[in-house]
Amino acid sequence: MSLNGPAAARLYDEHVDAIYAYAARRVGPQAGVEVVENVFEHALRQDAQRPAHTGTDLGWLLAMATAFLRRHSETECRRLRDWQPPTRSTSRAIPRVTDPLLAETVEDGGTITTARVMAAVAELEPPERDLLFLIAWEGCSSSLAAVATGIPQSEVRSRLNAIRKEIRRRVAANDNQITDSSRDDAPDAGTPRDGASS
Amino acid sequence: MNPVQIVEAARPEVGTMPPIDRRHLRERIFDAAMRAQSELSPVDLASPNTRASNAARLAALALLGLAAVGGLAYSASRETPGSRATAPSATDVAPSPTLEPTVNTVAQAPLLTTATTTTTPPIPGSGDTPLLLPPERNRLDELAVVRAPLGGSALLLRAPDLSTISLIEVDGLAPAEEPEPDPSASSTTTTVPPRQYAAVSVIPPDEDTPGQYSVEVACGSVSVLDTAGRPAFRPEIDALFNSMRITDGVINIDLPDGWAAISGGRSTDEFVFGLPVEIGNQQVTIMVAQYPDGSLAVAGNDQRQYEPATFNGQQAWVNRDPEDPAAFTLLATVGTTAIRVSARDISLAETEEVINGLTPGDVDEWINRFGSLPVDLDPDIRSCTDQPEFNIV
Repeated sequence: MSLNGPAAARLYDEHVDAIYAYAARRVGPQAGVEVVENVFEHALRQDAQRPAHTGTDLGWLLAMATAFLRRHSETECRRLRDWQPPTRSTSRAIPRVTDPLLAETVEDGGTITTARVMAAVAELEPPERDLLFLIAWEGCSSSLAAVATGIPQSEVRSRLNAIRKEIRRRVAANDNQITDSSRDDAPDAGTPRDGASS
Repeated sequence: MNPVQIVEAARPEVGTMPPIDRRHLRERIFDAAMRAQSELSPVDLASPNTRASNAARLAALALLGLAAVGGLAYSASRETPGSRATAPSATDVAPSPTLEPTVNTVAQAPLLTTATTTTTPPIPGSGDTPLLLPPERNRLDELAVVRAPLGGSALLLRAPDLSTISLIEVDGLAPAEEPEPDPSASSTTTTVPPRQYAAVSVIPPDEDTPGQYSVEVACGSVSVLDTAGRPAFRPEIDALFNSMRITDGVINIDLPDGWAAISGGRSTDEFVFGLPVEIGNQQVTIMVAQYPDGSLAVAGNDQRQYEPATFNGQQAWVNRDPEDPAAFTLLATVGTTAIRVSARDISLAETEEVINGLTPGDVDEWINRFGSLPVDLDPDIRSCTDQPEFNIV
């Protein structure tokens, strides 16, 4: 299927927001627009053909977006490591606590946990991250996620389980690392470092 | 919560792509895609660059050259009859019989060339290219398409006092059934029915909207827009209402002496864009509203007062705001398309230049560049046959 004219316009209009949302969630609005541009430029090239295995237009576009997002891996990982909770400032939102001290304590637990998980996600292999975000953020079915990532559909569930375990393992490892380093940095640490004991 | 659920809960809300990015990206992508296709398609479709076709071209060129030489020689032989016997004729230099079929191809080639060169450029406001499109990759301040109401139409009149009065009719529902009178209730008061047929009933304008009258008809409504600030039911409005007769939905207007109909026509889709242009080192935005196959009456269906003007050598109408003389609104036609141009700090001549610099295009090109037209959400509520329409008697 080579696209031109109204078919191409329809493809763009129907899916641009979904592709943008997927990309912008992962790499931010600016890079998200760049990814969208890459995807549609590629899709509308005269010789572009949707591979039969991609099934739907959305699957094909998500697969391309996933591939183009790799160009922005650094940005994505930096955003994950410096995770900031999304601000929900819509008029319908319940006003948040304004006392900075109180706000900090209220948010601490959940935010810190999320930040730790996100930092662990940043350490995942790119294909694992792709699958995780397609499922958890874009709400893709296993078949759509399989199309977008190239992972066989039968393996999606098991891969997701593996990702879950991997994140847990990395969070724990990072926590231990933090604990160790804070113990090392503590002024009353019993043992001096770098062989000072000898 | 397991880690995947935590990630899910942290899903950032990004909303839809910002409209301006979406539009610019669309223009960039489709411009590139269309350019690539237009550059490649002639090669692919018209003349495949194969070895066989190249050989045929070379043979054709060779024959053309030979024919030219032969023609010159033949011509020379006619001028010098004495040497005719020795001068070679065109047929004498004709190539070997194996190449004869190619001679026909050469003979036809110029015809094909002529046919392609006579392609006329797109005409702005024509049936094929009814729209004027802004230059590509240009930032637009506004972009909108408003679908026409089903079965609506407008009329723009000029009263003897040179004021313009705009009328618009909207098709609608059948009138509600009148309740049966209750025989037990007796009253000596005569109630005037709220809706009159073959006549008009007028809802007086209120203080905030002077000069706006609503006329209820059998299957829809008619609005009469006088300019703001005029007294209600001024003599011209009275005269207009008195000239109206409604028969089976048709609003017949027998224009009194001194009145003129500037324009009339059915409601059509409205295509709007705001184009920033630089005039004398100053950024000016020109708002262009277009009504393909539309009328000035639809374009000027507002409460502005329009004066005659000339635009591109044609009759046009212009409104200038007394409180802001640098601003104007112009009604004009480009072919079969009515346009309304609003701007300030730019002359009509400069506006002409900008409008003439726009690219003729059709609705498909608009869609390709700016996205699908909004879906007409209004259901067809024309449930009775006597839908209103204007008729100047």
